[in-house]
Amino acid sequence: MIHLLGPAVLAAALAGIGVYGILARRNAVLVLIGAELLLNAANVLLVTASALPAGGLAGLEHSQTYHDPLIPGQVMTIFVITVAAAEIGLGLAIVLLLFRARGTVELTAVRELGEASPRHTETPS
Amino acid sequence: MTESAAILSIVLPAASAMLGLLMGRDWARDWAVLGSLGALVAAIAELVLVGTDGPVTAFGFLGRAQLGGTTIDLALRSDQLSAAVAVLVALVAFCVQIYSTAYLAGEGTPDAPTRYPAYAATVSLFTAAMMLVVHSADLVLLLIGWEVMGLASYLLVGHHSERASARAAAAKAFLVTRVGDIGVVLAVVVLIAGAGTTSISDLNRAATENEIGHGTVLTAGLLLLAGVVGKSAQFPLHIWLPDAMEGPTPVSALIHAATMVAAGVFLMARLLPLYLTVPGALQTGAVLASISMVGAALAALAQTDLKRLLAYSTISQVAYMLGAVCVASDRELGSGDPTALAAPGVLHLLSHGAFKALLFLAAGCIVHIVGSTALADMGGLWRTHRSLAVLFGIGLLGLAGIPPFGGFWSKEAVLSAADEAAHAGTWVGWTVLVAGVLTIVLTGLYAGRAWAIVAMGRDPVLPAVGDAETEEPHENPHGHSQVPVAMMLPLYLLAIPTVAFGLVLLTPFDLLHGVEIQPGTAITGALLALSGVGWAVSAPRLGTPDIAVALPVRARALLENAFYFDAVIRALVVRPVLGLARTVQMLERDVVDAYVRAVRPTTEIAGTVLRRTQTGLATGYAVWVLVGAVVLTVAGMVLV
Repeated sequence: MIHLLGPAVLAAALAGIGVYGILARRNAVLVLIGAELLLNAANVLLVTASALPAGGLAGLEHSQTYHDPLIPGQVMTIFVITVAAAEIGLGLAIVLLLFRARGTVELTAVRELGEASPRHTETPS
Repeated sequence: MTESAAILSIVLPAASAMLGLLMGRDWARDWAVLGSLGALVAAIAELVLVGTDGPVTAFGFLGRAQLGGTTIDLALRSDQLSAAVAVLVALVAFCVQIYSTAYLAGEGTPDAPTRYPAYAATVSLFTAAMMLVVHSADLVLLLIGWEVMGLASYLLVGHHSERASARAAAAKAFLVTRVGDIGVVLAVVVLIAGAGTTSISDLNRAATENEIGHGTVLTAGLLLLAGVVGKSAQFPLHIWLPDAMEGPTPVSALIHAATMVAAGVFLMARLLPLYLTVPGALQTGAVLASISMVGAALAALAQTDLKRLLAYSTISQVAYMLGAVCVASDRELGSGDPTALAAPGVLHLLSHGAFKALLFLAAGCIVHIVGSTALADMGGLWRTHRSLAVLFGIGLLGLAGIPPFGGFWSKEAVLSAADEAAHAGTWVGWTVLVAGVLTIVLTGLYAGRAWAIVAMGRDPVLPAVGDAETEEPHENPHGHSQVPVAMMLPLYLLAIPTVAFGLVLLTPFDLLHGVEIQPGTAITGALLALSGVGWAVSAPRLGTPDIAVALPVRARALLENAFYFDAVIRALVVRPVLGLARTVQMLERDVVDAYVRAVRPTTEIAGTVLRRTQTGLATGYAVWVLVGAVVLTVAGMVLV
């Protein structure tokens, strides 16, 4: 059994990179990739936690070997992967349509729905 | 039998009111007259039956009402007091219904439609309510009739609701009498709480035998007196009656002269055994009656409107009745029956009902001829309408108390009662006696003045046909030269009791056994009344038909405005109440409603602020999500 520190650090790194990608990137595709990284950070944590014995970290000291036969952490990971696949499909489709319509995928270039937009009007034209 | 007659006298007018409304204009007249005729027959039958079979103290009418721990027996009673007043009410109502068929004939003009079916039904409803009051054996049942009378009075005063003055008068009558009626409601509450019963006979017996606390009786007595003062238009709640003359004249005759305003006195007479245990309430009533008596007679002296003159005279005459009842505690209990002490007041109630109804109906005929109620427009009735003038004169003689008219006997009975109380050495008796004697002179004066102006005045009612100035044959286009027969017949009918009412004293029934007329006061009263009438009637010799002209201008204005009491009420009651209403309105509008109205600007400001966060930049929204996640995480770690 490997040490917990490795997966935990990996999850933290993935989450950090994902947040950075979402917040700092202007390219919509890269923002989507950032979101995927966040999801995968969660996946790593789920699998890691699933490997712990019943009772969590406290259970290690008692070296109990009982495992939930349903391995909920790994099942949840499968769910997350499924949802992430659907989400990325939808997200990429939106990005594709955005590119077709505007010729760009820069998020800062599409602010029509914002209050401060110069093209914003109270009544639809 | 007695029970059936009493119930019929209530049910018949009520049914005729209903049928007259339901079956429309064509039948309204028949139902109204038939209903009042039925009530008259029933009332006379009741009076005869009570005489032969004796009174019935209680018989069921509307069953029993369970009110918490108290059972209210909504029963009726029938004795000579109720039967006698019922006959008066039915007689006047019958005369008024006949009179009204002619007075309110046709459709009327667009600005003053007659609305006869509604009118006749309301008069019938009033008759039923008054009969209910007269026959009630229980204060709660009496209160029901009392309030229905108030409603009918309000509706009829405002009958010509196209006129703003009629609407104002109706509202005034309703509000002012309501002040008194609250007293009656509170008295019922006090009696239920303090005595456990509202049955009139039980209350009278329990009060006499000291089974009820003195405080309870005194409180209830004073509260009931407030209702009496309001309904009977006595000082200080008299202000509604002169304005109530805005109603059709037959209504003034029935409700605001002969019957409803006398209901207060009737209630006092009914509860006299209870009142005798609390002289304080009776003394209060006597003082108010004395003030009303003299004040209203003085005000009547200077009125420029015939109906208002008669209204003030009604206040003054009802005060006689109230005064007669209120001196009862200082008189000797002769036969042992306390109700006999109320006999002078009841006698005056009956005779006043007859002569005042006659006066009002005659005034209605005069108004019909002249087309105006102002005394200035009247005159010369003796030359143009001799029979009407004679009938009007009979009414005035009855009012002034000239022997041998009915008004003389009843008024002297009142004065004799006051005289007896005065000789018992109490200030109450003296107050009422002095006020009564003074009022006799004043009554003679204003009765004579009315006669001098209306019947003898120099200007004929109808100027000569073919006046040089105008092509109109009549001075007033609203006037008529002929009075319909249906309007004259009731006058003849009412003239009979006005003239001959004194005859009942020859063979007095039990109710009137308490009536004694002392020769001393009688002769004094008659001479004073004669001198008053003579003084006023001789005024034309002095060059003016109106003796009030002889008064100084200031005094005349003071009397004509009834001592400016309306202005006093306006300053002391109306203004503060309106001010309070405005304050409440302001609190409602500027404080309570302000919270509701504040929702809109608050939402607007919040929206203006929050819309700034909507930048349109997806990254910006993601920052908010992240901030939210961090806040939730930190909160979870801190709190758990």
